[in-house]
Amino acid sequence: MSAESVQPALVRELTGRRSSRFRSGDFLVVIAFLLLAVIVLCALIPATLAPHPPNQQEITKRLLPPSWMERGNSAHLLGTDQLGRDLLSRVIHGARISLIVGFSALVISGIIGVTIGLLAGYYRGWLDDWIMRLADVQLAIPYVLLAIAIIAVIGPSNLNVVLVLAVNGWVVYARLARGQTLSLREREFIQAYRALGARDWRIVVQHILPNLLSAVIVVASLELAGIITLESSLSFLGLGIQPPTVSWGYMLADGRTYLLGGAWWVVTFPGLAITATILSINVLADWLRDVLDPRLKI
Amino acid sequence: MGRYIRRRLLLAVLTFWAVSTIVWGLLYLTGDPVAILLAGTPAGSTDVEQLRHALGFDQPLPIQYLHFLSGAVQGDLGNSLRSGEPALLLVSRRVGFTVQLALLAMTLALVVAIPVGIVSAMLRGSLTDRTLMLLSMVGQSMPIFWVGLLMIAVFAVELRWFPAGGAGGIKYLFLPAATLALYPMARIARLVRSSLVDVLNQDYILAARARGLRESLVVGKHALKNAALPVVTIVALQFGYMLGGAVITETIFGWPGIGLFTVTAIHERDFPVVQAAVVLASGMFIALNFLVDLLYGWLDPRIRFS
Amino acid sequence: MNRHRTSRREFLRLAAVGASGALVAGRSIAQPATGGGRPLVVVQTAWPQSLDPTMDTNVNAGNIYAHMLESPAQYRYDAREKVMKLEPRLCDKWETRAPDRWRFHLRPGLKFTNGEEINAEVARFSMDTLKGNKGMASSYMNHVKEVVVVDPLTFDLVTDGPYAATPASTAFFFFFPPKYYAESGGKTGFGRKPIGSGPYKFVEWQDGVHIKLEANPAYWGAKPQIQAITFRAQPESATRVALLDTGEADLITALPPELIDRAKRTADIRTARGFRRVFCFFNANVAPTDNPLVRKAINHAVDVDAIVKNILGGHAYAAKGINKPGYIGYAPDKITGYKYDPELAKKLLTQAGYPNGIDLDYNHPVGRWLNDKDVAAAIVDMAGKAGIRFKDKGVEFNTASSLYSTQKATGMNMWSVGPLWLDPSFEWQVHFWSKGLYHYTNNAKMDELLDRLRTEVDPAKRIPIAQEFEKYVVDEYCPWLFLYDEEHIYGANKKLQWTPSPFERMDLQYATMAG
Repeated sequence: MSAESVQPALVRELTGRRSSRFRSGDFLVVIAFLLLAVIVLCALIPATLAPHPPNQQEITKRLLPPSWMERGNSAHLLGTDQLGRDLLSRVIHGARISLIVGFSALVISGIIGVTIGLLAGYYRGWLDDWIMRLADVQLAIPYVLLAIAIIAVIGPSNLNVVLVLAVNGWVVYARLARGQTLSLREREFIQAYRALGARDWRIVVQHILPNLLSAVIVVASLELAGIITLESSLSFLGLGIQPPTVSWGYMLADGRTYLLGGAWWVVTFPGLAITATILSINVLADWLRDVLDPRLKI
Repeated sequence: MGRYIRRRLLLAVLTFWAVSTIVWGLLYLTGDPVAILLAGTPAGSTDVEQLRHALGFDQPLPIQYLHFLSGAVQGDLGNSLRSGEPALLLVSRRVGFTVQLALLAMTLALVVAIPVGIVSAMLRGSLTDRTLMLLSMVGQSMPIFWVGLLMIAVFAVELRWFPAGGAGGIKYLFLPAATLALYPMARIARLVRSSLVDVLNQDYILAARARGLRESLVVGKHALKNAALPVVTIVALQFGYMLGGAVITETIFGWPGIGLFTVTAIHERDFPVVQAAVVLASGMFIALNFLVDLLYGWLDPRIRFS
Repeated sequence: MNRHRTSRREFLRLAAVGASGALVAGRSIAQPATGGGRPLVVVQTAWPQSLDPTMDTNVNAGNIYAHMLESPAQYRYDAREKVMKLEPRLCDKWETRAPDRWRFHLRPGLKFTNGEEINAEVARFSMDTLKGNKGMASSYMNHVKEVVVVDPLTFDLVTDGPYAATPASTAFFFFFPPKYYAESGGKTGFGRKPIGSGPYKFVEWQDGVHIKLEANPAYWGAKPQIQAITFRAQPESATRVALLDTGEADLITALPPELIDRAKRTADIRTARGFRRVFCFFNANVAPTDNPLVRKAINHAVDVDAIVKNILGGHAYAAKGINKPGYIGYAPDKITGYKYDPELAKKLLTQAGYPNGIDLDYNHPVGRWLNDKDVAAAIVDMAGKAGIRFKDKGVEFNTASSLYSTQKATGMNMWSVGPLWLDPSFEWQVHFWSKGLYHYTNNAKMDELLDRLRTEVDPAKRIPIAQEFEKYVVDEYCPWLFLYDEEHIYGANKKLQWTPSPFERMDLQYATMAG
């Protein structure tokens, strides 16, 4: 028996949904969509949108507050940082690198992790053991050491950051994929397919992977928050995105003393940008997951 | 069962070996420790050579590696290049602080996250659910040093409830633990909710309800146990990360755990200390994974015997 | 160079008077010196690796062990004349016997806090220990060939060729009690539990929590007013300021300028011009920086005064040369230096054959010195306007250090030097000497002048050599982008009467706590 054959309304009743989630949810999804669209736009055409070049210093105009405060300057809507660079322009330019680095790392670690996890969970045996030991080994290695070593070999560059973030993140997908595969593998319908002689890869791709996808998407959207924050941590330690490239994480780490001492805008606006990006991605990912839920397909 | 344990032990040893070798290799990639030790001093090249020889760094790499291995097997991971003390001893002084912090932080996180996640899942689609999940998302998007500095500004400087930093008693532990707990708390809450929702949609739950079982029994007995699987994965991962040392929290609060200690040793290229720290951390991971695998087996009996 | 020598009898008489005075004083003034017996809490940026000076020479360690350990001579800041003076400490006088032999006379009757005597044998033991420990300081006494015991209170330092800065170098020649050093397990034991003869003695070190010192009741010199000091460490500057704010700390180090206003709300700021000079060196062996015109052009392209004023908030001192205030031969008026003049920079570049400007790497550590990232960014920006296009390569400190030690760093490289004793030859030989650690310059005249400076013992004769060296290096050879000296900024409890010294030694034995 399968849920697909049962009518949607009945399913809804049996699965205990109390209210139709589309009404309030829709509004939030639309906002998230718009927000993300703005952010992506910033990433695509920063030079057109930003009023000033992001690295233009005017050290006599440093630490100007946002224009609506006293001492503020209308040429610098969100104020300036400690080198007199326009904050609004820097926030706009920062979108590109944060999105690129964030997504690249996410996609790379996701693909590697899910593949490894699937293999480990499906074939079990010594392959499983070795792979999981590899995961343990990887987790035990401090990401700082990895970052410094990569820099020592390649020299400081933005590629390092993506590599470190990607290498750091695959384990979670692998363990998840492995766990779910282990469960699913033992289920009757999978056993049935195997008994019928269906090829392994078909089983994996057609039956196990779709069931995995929902969980993976949720975890991925959760991970994105972590990746963007990790980028900021790397900047905190001096191992992150290199100037002149502008990144939100760098701005946050750089300006953190100002949180306690006066020029709060230097840290707040990049922080809001990060929060807004992560929130909208998470909301959209949730929505996507609901859409993809095979239980409700007719 | 005995064969299983023996196999796991063998794999644990192999993991140790792999980790220390990789770290050893990475350290060598990062530069010359002797030149760094003597940087900015009146030392000349002869001094550097002499020190290199005295510390054994002038021998060919394979010999150095064998030397390291033979020592490691006997429990001697070498002496710190900076203080001369045994590396393992130095690291062991800090482990206690890390474990305390990790335990309190994870406890705080779970105590809040699990109920929040369950409530959200059961009330899914409602305003409560939406609000709780929004708060979680926000909690997850705040960089940890922000959170830490804000905690200090509010709870230490303004309210004087807790000390602003340092160690030496339980009152120093609260703010760092609360800071460290925020991200896992949010993450686990969301995960509990989503995996519970997933499970609650599945066939056997449908069947249980169709049989007329009480909702609380449905959720409590059947759903939770199966929803637990991915949650356990993430909790273990987070806890492992905390044990590895939460560098930023430790830096912000001056909490003398292993994270900041290891990063400092890496910065100073104090090879033996980095080795010792990593070996200790991987030991804890391996132990943790062992427990998690046992837990998997209990949660889903089909996995237990392959 | 004979100083008035206190006769033994005289000394004993004085000591007896002093001791009885102290006993009387101790009985009548019962209250402890720090307000209510609370220890003075000092918060630094990091924990020491070891309290053994042969192993850890960092300021975080030095600030602690310099209160407990002593050396033949030591620097003390004269706040009136605003200059560092080398004062007799364990030795009350010294003189040259030969160009390569210095004789030191120990004060009689001095003891370590565990009762061991301080005599010439101790001097020899301490030198052997420093050289033999294979620690950070192992090469600091390279100029000393051996220590010869002449009689129990006299020892000779025999140097490897004449070395003018020998007495100055004894500021880092700390004495250890031989029996205790061996018994405690050598550098590892002593490094956790040191014993010295200084104004303070060690109480305990709880790892990661605190290091406690208390006043040495048997100290031979002036007894400190502050009876107990607790040292802690806090890497994050915002948190250090918070500790000062709440009163958990009485003294904090490394206060960044942007937090000064914040700290002033509840505490005092104390500053001192430091001896740590930040600069950028060029690789003078590789094009295009092998051309002095290029190096000079870069100097003209950077407005150091603007950087000091705007980025460092005025908390630094532009330094156009290579000598420092208080050092022998310091005469900044005798050198010209480089004024900010981007037009001249462009002209010099064209003269050097680069009419379209040049592209260079700019290697610099990040997070090591005050606002170093911002300073580097400003330099890149300013130089860019004169056609010098730097590729900003900011790395973690030891990655830079490692790169520099390969002798292969190209372009421009940011660095700093902080002295262990205050003679220009210390720093100049690190950077400009062919037998030193870095080989980015290649100049016979500099070598020759430096050799003469190191070995000429008569201070009157050294002054012109030092000045000639500086003039040549700065105005003609120009191996550096000259930047600034850091200012040490401390946050202090308003009741603490204490002046920081440029030498980065806290010397809390001279401090008092009001009320």
